[in-house]
Amino acid sequence: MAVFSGSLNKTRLRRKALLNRRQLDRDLRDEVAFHLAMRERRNCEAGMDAEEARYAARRRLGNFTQLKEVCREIWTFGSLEGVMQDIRFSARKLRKSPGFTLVAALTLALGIGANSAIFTLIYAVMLKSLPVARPSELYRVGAGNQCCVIDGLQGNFGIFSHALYKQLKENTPEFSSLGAFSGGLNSLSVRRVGASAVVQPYIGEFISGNYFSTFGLDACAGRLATPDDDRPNAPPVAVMSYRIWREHYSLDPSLIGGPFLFNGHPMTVIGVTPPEFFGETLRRDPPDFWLPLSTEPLVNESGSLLAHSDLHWLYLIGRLKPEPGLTKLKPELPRKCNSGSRAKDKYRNNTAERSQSSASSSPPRAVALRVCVQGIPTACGCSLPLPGSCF
Amino acid sequence: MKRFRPLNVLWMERRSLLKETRQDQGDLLQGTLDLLIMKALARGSMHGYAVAEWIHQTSEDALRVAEGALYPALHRLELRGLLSSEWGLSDNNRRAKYYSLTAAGRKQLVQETEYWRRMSGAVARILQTA
Repeated sequence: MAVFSGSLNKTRLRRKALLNRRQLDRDLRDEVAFHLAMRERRNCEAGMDAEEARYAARRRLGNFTQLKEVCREIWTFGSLEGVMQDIRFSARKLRKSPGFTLVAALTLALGIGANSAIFTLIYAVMLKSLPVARPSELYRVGAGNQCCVIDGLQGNFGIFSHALYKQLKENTPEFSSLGAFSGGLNSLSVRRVGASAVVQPYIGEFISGNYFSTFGLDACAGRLATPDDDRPNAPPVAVMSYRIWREHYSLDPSLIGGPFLFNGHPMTVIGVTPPEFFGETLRRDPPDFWLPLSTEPLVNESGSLLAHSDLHWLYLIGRLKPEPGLTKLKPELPRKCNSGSRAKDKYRNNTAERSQSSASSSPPRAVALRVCVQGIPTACGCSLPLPGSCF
Repeated sequence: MKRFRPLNVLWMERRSLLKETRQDQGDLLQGTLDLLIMKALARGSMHGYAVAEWIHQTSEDALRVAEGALYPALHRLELRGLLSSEWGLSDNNRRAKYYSLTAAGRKQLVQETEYWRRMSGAVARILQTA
């Protein structure tokens, strides 16, 4: 115990000395000056003259600078003091050559900044595991990034009408599940039915009934939309994002199953997506609500796209079965797309294009239907094309 | 043009300086000097000069404290908690640092005195043999 308090005391004294280094030096100087004065007076009394007495006193004391160094070494944390001296020394040197310092600091700043920026991007786009089940099985149909409603031909096919989606879904047993989502997002005016609720603008995305099951998602609260909700006469429902649930509704569980008005039409919010799910596309304005395709005529009223087989507005994403897999599906997709009676005349010139630049090099009526490897579904959609991942 | 002196050279210079200083203190064994300082301060608080003079006079001029080593020794003892210090005015009205023995210092003095008696007695016995 005594040893402990002793070392504690020692540390306290040392810290004091370190912080008041000037005081320490001044005290030592005063102490030694007093000693010298006393010795000098004594020498004078012994009969020396004043100058001789002073020199004799100094001789007897020895080298004052050395004495000072030794005392400093005693009082301060020897090595720590040395390190601090080194830091001060290098700071002085750097101050003397500001050009070099500036270049060095800039080099470091740019290097570190660029590295962290690039890593942030790589991490978000490539390394971070997606909040969906087995992302390596997910493929987007088509590599084109047209948005959001296309009427007519596409050089690089990537966006589909609802009719074409249904046709592809029925004719592609290679996909265990083929989902669709609208390329463009809709602004919705949403009001929770209740006394004090006001209308709020939110962003909505139309999705096929099997959208969530294609991604293998489970609801955070309530339930997610199912194919049953996507039938023509099903009661209209909506799925809320976790972000909106938390930020605007304070995770209130009572709103699940409760009535909302979407653009004035009553719908039921049936559930909330998992917190980590931000939609299929990495974008700055992720959807706040997901609505089944069957509600599209209700919400968009006269501007509805659902029944128009010549208007393309849906992206397709599917979960591929391991057998027979991509090699068999890829050459057959254009034919499957072409065989539909409604689309026949429009797509009769289909060829399986392989080149990236098909949009410019192919004849105007040729349609390339391509499969985009969707290891990273967020990288597709209209916001972030990744040419390296497509073939 | 040599603008920078490598840090390790400076470091080595510093080390050698310290080593030299320690050798120069060799007039009295360091432990002995500590003992004598504590013995001097057992009489009451004193400033450094008075400690040196007391040792000098009490030993009837036989021991002359190397004054360059006296102050480091005083500071070391203070850091070990054996001495305490405070600034005061000397007889001739000058500002001086007065040292006094702490309780731990008194205990240490008793132990070291006993140790010194045993050691010097042993050495003396050896030297007395024919």
